[in-house]
Amino acid sequence: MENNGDLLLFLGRWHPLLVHLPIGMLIMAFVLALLSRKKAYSSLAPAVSITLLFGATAAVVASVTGYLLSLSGGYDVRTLSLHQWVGISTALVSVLCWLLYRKPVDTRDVFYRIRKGRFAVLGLMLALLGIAGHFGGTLTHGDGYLVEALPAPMRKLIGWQPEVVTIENVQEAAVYAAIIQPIFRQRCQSCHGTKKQEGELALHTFEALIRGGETGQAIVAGDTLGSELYRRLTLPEGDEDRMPPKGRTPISDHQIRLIAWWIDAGAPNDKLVKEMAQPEEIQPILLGLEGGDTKTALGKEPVLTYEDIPPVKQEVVDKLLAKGMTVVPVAENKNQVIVSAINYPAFSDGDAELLLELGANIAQLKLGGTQITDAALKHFGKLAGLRQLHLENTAITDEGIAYLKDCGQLWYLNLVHTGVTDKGIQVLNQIPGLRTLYLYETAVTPNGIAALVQAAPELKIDTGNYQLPALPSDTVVY
Amino acid sequence: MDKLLKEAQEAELRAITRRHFLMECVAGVGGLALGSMLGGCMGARSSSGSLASRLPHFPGRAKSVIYLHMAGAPSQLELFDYKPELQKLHNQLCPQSLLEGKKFAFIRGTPKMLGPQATFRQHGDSGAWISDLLPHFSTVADEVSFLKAVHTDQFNHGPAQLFMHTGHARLGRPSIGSWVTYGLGTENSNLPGFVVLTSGGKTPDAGKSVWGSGFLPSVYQGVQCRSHGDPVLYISDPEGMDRDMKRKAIDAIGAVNREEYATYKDPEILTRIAQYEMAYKMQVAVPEVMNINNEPEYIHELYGTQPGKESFANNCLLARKLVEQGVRFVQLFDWGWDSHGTGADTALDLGFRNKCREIDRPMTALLLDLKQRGLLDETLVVWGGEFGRTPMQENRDNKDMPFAGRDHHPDAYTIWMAGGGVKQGVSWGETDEIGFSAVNGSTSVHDVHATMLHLLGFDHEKFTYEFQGRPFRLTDVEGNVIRALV
Repeated sequence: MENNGDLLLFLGRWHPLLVHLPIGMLIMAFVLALLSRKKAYSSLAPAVSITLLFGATAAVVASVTGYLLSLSGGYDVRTLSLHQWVGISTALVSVLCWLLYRKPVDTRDVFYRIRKGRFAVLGLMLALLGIAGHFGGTLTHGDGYLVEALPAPMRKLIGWQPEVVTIENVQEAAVYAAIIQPIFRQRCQSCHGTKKQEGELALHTFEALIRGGETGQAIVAGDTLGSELYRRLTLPEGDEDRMPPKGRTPISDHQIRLIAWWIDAGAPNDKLVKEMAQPEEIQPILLGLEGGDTKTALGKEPVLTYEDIPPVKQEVVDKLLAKGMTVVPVAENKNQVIVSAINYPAFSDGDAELLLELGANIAQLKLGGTQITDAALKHFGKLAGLRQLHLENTAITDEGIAYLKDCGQLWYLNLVHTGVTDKGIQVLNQIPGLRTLYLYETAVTPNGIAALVQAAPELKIDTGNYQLPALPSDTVVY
Repeated sequence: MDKLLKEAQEAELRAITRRHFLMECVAGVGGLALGSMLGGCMGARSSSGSLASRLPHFPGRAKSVIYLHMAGAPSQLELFDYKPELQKLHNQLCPQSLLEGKKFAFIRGTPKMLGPQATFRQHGDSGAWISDLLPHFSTVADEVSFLKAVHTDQFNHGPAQLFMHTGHARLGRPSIGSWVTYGLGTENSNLPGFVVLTSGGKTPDAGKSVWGSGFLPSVYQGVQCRSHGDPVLYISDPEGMDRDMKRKAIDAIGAVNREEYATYKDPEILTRIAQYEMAYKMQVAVPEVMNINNEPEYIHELYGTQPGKESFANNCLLARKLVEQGVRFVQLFDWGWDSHGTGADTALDLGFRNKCREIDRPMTALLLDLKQRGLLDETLVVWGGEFGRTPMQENRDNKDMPFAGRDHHPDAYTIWMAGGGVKQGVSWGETDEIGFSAVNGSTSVHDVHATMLHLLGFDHEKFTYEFQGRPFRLTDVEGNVIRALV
């Protein structure tokens, strides 16, 4: 290709720009032809042929420059050949369209005689244009560029699955396979992979990466600054050796730092994150890789995830709202709700029936300060998704909380200022997920707590009644 | 006659300005604001799903916030950022390298270094360094996580306070309390979603803009309550005006306002209607929640409260009561932390110690009281100032000063957070040996905001409000969630 000289390549590089002219013009020609078939727009008819003439000329120019560009190589051969031939066909068919739509030289003209089907040919040209355009886009941006950005529900419709590895716990993840390789796959493999090996470099496997490319080793284990790959990633913007090249999505700063961290640690193929030294600046980046925003870092408490469940029954919600309760989803796209009686202190046992109808949708229930009694809790086992329950400042006693043992997901229970006693709380050890229990201002004694803690060692019990000692310094005025 | 009619029509047309036209797109939001301020409608709004963007992006751990702002900027070097090296440099001239390219509010020429004016010890399992000026607070060290290298870009109180509370050093942006109330609505239909309490004798330097709603509908602005006298000015019925009459008056005004709204479609009219309604409901609810007289004696002992006085202690107790009653955001300002050393009241070894004593017991009590009531799990408590203070002693007008004080310092200061899903016992960020600049874990004000919003269930990059043709964020175009804390 060097023998063809720079001028041809120069012309070829105009292709991505010029290619948009015929696209616009030919679509315009089609629109004009379509409209002029209606009587009201028949005056547009003469404009079709001139638009087609310009469009076809532009298409031919685009094809030629495209061919010149293809000579420079470096594209996926299969997609390239598809793009090339569909593109050339588009140009040819657009010329044919022009011949069919121009003012006939005389009526014996062969094109004049077959003009009846000319609109169909125009339609064919449009279809070819679309296909050629799509392959063109695939060549520059890589396979799946378009669908990647499609919202998930629509993706499902067309049956396309993204290759996304979610990391649950970053410390348990494999450094190369789960963190480094996905970066290469995302940002490098359209040019350095199985389809193309620009500069003879491929990054789709660990072995290929170690093998390196044209200019030698891509990475030097343990020496980030001496690694060609790292040098290319961090060259100043505008440098022609910088990777990914201009026009492609750049690698983020965090991704570069992760790569550097990995190379510095000797570019291991099989280590887990927890086996690596983790400098302070890399820790937040690693944590940021963990999927799911609901993760809690407290460690002591359970991870608050909200699974997909059917939506709430709107008619029940409406009834609750009419009474002055509030019902709010825990977050957008979640069907679990927080139900609160803060504006309806008159809430009583009769109202509890309504709650049961919401079933597993209730994640958090705030009934503090209401008229609720033990009887209302009888069927709370039906609230299978209940995680946090507020019963503070109510007349609930041991009898009531005995019913809660069936609330399998419950992890927070507030019984502040209620009638529960040592005896009653022992039943709570049957709720395996229960983590925090508030018993301030109850008759529960240290003996009762000790017994419960023995049975449920992970349960954190707070009986409150905190006092701060009077210190001499409290009264010293300077 | 014709002429008069025409004039009237023209006047009406003129009243519908471009601004009104532009604001019509906001009208829906104003209406919603009204909805969210009235109980129950909130549920209808969100469960109908039509405005799902106003729900948290993901389930947040915190449901409410108590923000303790020490106005004037307390010295981190006397409270949390222990610098033994600074003690060794005490009274030596500050090296030029530290001063080059720096501008200070009052330091001129070459100041002397000032060693820590307090003794430090490590506390709790987390080993947090806390000075002896906070003896009570140090007992709850393990509940708290510290950000030790926060920086701002403002070195004067007003702009720095604005930046700390609105994410911007100039006027006009909504405060974080307004953003949070806008995002989560209010839980209690009889109380404002965002309440402000001040102590220390003055309101913050930046004025009421630090709890303003900026371009958000004004229902989201903070409502300032007083801890003595009427909690809200003019909340009691005036003499000769009973509650029924008041109701009738409000109904009549409401009818006029609604008519006005039908004509001009100004969303601020809806806000006004909502505020009249709210004020009426507050007449009953606010005096009740703002009354600390009925709290038991041991609670008063715990907080060190004295009913009837305006104090930080009273405000802490009120903050707990408000959060307990479903108020979303409680903002406390305590004035008097500007320890320049110009007099005894701003000296680090005198007035500053008094301020420490005034907050030590109440803020500790607040954490413990929230905890024993099971509220701390969902209440985020944030403590901090608007900037830090210099490791150098202030030398105003290049003269030695009689009292030990420090100048404003925007490069590194300490903020702590507790509850609301914040990881416990973490210390994030570190300053150099003299506490002058961050060496790692540098945290911007935007990072603090991003983290707070994250705890409340909001992705700060998606939590926006359309204004003047572009979406605005609390964190503007910056901010990263501090992952070590969440």
